[in-house]
Amino acid sequence: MNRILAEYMTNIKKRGMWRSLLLTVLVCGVGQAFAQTTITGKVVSNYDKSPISDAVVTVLNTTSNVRTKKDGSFTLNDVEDGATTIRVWSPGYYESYVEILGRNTFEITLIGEGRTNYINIVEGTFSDNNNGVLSNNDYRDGAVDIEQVLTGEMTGLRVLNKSGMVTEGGMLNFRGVRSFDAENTPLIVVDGVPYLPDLGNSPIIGGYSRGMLAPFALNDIKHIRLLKGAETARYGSLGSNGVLLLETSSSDDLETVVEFRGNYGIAHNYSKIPMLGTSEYKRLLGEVGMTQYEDMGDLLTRFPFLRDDPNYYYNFQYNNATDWQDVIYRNAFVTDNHLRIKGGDAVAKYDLSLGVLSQQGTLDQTTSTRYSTRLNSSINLGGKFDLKAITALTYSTSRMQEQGILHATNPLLAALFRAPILSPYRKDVENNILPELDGVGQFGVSNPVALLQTADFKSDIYDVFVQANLGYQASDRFRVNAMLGLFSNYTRQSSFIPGLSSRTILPLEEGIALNTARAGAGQASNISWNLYGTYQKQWDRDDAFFGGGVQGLLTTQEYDAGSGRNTSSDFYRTLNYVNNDGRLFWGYNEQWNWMNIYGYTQYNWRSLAKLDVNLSIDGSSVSGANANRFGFFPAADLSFLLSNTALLKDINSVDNLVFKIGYAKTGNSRFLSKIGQAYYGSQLYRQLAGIIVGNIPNEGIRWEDNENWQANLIFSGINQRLNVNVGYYFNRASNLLNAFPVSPIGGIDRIYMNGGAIHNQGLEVEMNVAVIDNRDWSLTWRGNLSTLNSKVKNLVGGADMLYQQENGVTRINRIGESPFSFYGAHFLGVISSDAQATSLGLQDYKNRSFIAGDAHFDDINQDGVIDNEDQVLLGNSLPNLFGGTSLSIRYKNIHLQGLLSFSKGNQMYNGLRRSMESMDSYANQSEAVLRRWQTDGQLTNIPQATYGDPMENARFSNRWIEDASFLRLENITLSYKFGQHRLNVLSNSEWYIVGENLFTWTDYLGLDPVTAYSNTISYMGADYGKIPLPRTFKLGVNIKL
Amino acid sequence: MKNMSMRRSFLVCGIATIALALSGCSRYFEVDTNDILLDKDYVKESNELYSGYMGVASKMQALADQTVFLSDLRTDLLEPTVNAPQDLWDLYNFKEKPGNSFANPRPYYDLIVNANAYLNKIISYRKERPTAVEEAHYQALISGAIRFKVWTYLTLGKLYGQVAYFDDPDLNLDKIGEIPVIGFDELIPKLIALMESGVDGVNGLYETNWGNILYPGIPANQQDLVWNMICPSPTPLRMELYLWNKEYEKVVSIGIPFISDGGGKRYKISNEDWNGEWIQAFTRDPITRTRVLINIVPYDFERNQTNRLIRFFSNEEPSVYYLKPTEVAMQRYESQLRYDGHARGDRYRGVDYTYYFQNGQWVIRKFSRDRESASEIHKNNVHIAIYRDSDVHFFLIEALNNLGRFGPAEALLNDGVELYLSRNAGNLEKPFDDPIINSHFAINLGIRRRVSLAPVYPQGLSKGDLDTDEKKQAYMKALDKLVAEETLMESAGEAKAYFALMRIAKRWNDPSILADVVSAKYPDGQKEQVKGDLMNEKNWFVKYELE
Repeated sequence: MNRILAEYMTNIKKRGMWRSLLLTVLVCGVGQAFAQTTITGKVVSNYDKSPISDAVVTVLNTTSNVRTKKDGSFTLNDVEDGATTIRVWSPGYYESYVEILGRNTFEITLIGEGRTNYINIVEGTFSDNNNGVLSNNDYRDGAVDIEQVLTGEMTGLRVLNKSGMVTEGGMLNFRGVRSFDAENTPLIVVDGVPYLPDLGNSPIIGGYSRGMLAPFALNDIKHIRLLKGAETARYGSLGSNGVLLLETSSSDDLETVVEFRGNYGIAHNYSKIPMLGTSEYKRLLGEVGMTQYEDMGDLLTRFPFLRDDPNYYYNFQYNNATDWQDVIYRNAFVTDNHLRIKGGDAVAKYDLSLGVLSQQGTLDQTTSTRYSTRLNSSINLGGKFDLKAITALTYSTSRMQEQGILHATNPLLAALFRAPILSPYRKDVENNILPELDGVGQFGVSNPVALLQTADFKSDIYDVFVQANLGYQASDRFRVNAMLGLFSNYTRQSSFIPGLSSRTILPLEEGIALNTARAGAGQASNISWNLYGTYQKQWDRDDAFFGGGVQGLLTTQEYDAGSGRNTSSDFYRTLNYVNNDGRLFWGYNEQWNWMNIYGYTQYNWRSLAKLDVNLSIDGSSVSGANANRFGFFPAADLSFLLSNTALLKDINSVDNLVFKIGYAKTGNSRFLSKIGQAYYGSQLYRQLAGIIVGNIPNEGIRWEDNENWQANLIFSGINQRLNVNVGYYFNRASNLLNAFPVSPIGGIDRIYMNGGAIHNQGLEVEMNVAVIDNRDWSLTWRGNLSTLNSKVKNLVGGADMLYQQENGVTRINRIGESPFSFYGAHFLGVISSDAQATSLGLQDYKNRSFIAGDAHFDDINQDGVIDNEDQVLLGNSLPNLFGGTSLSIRYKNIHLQGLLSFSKGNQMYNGLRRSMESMDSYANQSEAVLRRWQTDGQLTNIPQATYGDPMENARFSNRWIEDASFLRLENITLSYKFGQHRLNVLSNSEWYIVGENLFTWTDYLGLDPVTAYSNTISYMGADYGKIPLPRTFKLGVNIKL
Repeated sequence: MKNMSMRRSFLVCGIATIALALSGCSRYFEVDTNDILLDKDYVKESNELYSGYMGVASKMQALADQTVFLSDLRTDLLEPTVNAPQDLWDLYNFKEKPGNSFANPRPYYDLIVNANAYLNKIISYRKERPTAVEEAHYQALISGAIRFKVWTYLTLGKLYGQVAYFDDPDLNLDKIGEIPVIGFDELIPKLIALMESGVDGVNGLYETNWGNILYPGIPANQQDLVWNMICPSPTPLRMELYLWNKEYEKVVSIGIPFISDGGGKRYKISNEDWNGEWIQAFTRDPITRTRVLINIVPYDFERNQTNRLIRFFSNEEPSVYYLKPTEVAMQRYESQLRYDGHARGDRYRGVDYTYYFQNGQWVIRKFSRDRESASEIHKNNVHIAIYRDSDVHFFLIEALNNLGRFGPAEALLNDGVELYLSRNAGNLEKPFDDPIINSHFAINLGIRRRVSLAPVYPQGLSKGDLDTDEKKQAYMKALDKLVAEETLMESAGEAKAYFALMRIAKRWNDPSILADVVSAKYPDGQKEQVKGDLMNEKNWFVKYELE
């Protein structure tokens, strides 16, 4: 990378223009100082250039302060030397800051508050900060979680909604895969406190992982800021995946304000898979059956309805035409209500909120309610002391269902598999529906309605946040703070899957568990502390901000769970009734501690260049005894404020032009502390506990390294109507934790070593264009686009690393390829004829020949045998390109806006489709199997139907890897904002209707191209049959009193 | 000035804070969760020594069934079914690839790593606290750990032909690469030395009653008896080692007193385990079968301790039916002449006992009998025998044969000592020339007569006509082959027969003894190729890279 940077710098040198520009910057900047005493100007509106009267014009850090006249003009006399910035403010407009830069005449355009995402222009992506910022003013109306408002909003940040199961939230990924085995999610920092929840999938509810930001009520979050550059180094070995700063709401002024936000809507599922109808299903059933039973009579005994006998007594049981996908879904009611009261006096300010988020899932009977409360207060303790105190409590209670390739208990799979000829309920001979649910019967498929109505998957979660931040304002410039924060999560989940009495749900554990009970409780806590100080210093025309401190984090996670089976009846649902056989207890206990000494400075050189330097020395409990405990993480961003140079500063159409380059070294120590420790574990031998060697420790284990180089050109002009940020980054993650296969002599399979490397690079472009911006009309277009190129550059020992995942999926890390690429058989089509089969002469490793109608897999090693030696790379789940774009139109007080998100080039394993096209059992299948091979010579891409699929035609192969590129219309909102109204409750209120997840353009054949099995990066791009995200229509109101 | 002093105080405060933070660092970063025992904290209490021993012992559970699959898939007993995964098929086809999960010797080395660490821990602990552990317990714990290690190394050697031999208790990645790999022939003397010399003055011969250690003062109950069976007993282990080392006299001299059992009824191939009762040793509660079973690996389904024997052998759901009996193996049982001298078929070990026709397929039934009902079949916790009565008998038979004492050898193999005594009165050979021994052995039926089969003798040779050394050698070899043949039936699925074939083929430097038997189960095209491969001794062993 040094080479690349050097080349880059060389290119810059080659460009004489740049050199002369920089020289001019320096010379002109220096030459034009010390002369101002009087400043005049005019403040105008962005809408129509009309003057703004009574706008407050202040020179920062001085006593100069005037109001504009009717014609918008102002005169500031006797402005002190060293004054750098003018601040202008007027009601209805955003506050504006203008650098003086030796000028004495100004025309200052104020931007009306209707401009969308303006914060990003003044202090985010389009400023020299170069951070994506989203404020609560710009959240999409009707959104209920943080992931939802982040989707498609920030360059580099990919937000993948996990499913339509309520509270699952989304998976976050910043600029690709940066680690094989350590955490890959951005560090979440809430009000200055790192937040490290337990991100694992629930051991109790299959395929469920709670959204990592689920404890936070969206309306309590004031700002969301994504750090990408040098500032990430302040978090040392936590910063490698980017840092997402959340700032919660607080009272800014003394006025008492009551806010209510509420929305009410209906969600419905619109994504279905076309399945076989009754006659097509029967035909398939017969065909599969004939491959299991040699004797047709046996088949007809099992499936008597296959006889065309109208007098068969039990015909009433099989004469249905049920669309099971319709049966399991419902129109679901969703509502979010949030009340805030804030205000205070000179001594204490408070911000108290109460929220109730109640979401029914479109999957019938699933529901979640979250109650949240938060009290943020700031107290002036007298003297120079002040205290900020935060207390927040969230309680969520949910009823879920299982997801994933769990044939017995995923109601979605059961609905797809269930024979259409069956009824959800039993019937009498007169064809009357009885209240009792229909059983599994001879089909081997659970009744999905039984799952929804009688299976319990409950989750109760408590989250507590407490934070105290004591400040001491030693002087105007020097401030010291001591902060202590606590986050505690308690999760209790339980499940009960009936079946013993009802026989409506397929037994688990290979038929042994007629009913199953599970329960688990977990606790995660973060105790964080931070002692820090800040110091501001101004020189004549330069200023600097220094900060530094010591911070730390003590985290623990513990989980204890039990499961058992076969309680004496489905009525008894707790663990104390399960059989001794099959009782299982498990859990984990992890601790992880971190300490970080950090310092930073933000130095502003004559408003022409800014240098941000961040340094930290950082240690964590992951380092082994023979490794360095502390790492040094330096970073610097250098911004050239080109728009402030003499050449450009007087060009009104250029508001901001910045060239920014940066380097940041961070690390990743977010992995288990136990890897570097020598320890013993326990193993029961019959009823006695044995102590066993737990590992071969790698006492040299240490944090992973991460280096990031980036360069951005940031432009904001034409009264901030055209805003562009074009950036390029190159990221080198090295010393990555690498599960190195150890010789069997060690008694273990793998040992973790530092040594892997991944390179990520990409181009990031973000734009915000106010195409029309006048008082009655405005039209704003925003968009962001990120490219991603992620490659494994090194592995310890150089050998491929294979990962076996659920449902027979294999992934591979191979040098030169994308991380976690799919790896499997190469499906070339279906062997169409006996002649072709003979000429191919392929066998499996059991010496059986592939015949006509079987899959034709590529015999990679040309040995005539299709086996594990014939696996090839099948693509990867990372996109080449992703982002979002939105359009916002306003006519007077009516707003219409919509947002599209997109992703291109990401591959997905369609496990759901594999289940729907395998034709290896008596389950119903998708309409695609109508194309199955049936006659010699038939050209098709769907193999023949065979019970048990002995030739493994449906094995993991590229047949199931699909391009999951998509363009999704995330939402369209129509809103009306009242101004002052005689009905007080309507004043300043906003009423809206919103449609969410309205349409998705994709070639992907699954239910939803946007899905994630877990928060783990290695599972990205796996469609394991999750509930698709529903389409939602909501009506909502934001009232401010 | 004010600013200066403030800056100074800030600096001082900062440095002090940092210094304070760093000084407390080492403890700050130490994490000690409740689910691990840090190396530095083990051993703190003497009771952890017993737990440590159990930890070593528990590792046997992971490797016992693997030993069966690896060795019996290489005899003519088993072949994979269409359900079997590629790894089993590769083993069957002698094409195991790197990473083959069944071929991986990791579980064996896991036990050795644990045994080494444990021996180090107990010896260090005793040095620090000489009186903390009773001498008898100390000896029993060390001796047991040695035998676990020796048995495991012996098994590794038999399966893989080479082992990485080490005693280092603190293995790390660098050391793993430096461990010497030694061949099987070099291994055996090492193991014998370890058994006889031991460590810290304790050899591998010490046994104890675990009931007294685990439950002191409480009368022995059934649970306790099983604990006495979990560790390979010194004598069978030594017998096997000496047999491999061709020290036949030693095998006999320690084997006979062991089987005599001071006149007890154990290990006699007695009439009390007559014919059909034989099968019960493999499925019934082991403490009711202590006459047959010497050492076992017990499992406990209720505590999630299972093995894969029934799961792989049975075709009753939820078993997966990966391995099935071969035609040639079944034919061997079917062709046996019964004791009546007329009928054919091994009535008590053959069909319905060792194998069975169930759900339209042939299955190995030896371990699933009594457990075939829907409520039992899934439990998968049938014990696996390490040593049992027939093993020590076969060791003795082989040793006696190779000492030229054909009469006693054939007596133990065929129809028992009592008949031998009556037939050869006045011409008794060692060891059955001792009235006390003979009285103890009177209940011995012999391996074959116990299951009502007629005696077998080397064909075309007569004991009375062994006037030359060549003839004697020929008789010896033929009898050895009969022993191997008998082991294939008696010990089917017990991880014994393949090793007997190897030992005997090696002894006579005649790979065809093994190659002929093993290759017979393969289809015609493959038969010759397999046989050709097995004529090279190197191909007998499971291939798995240790690097």
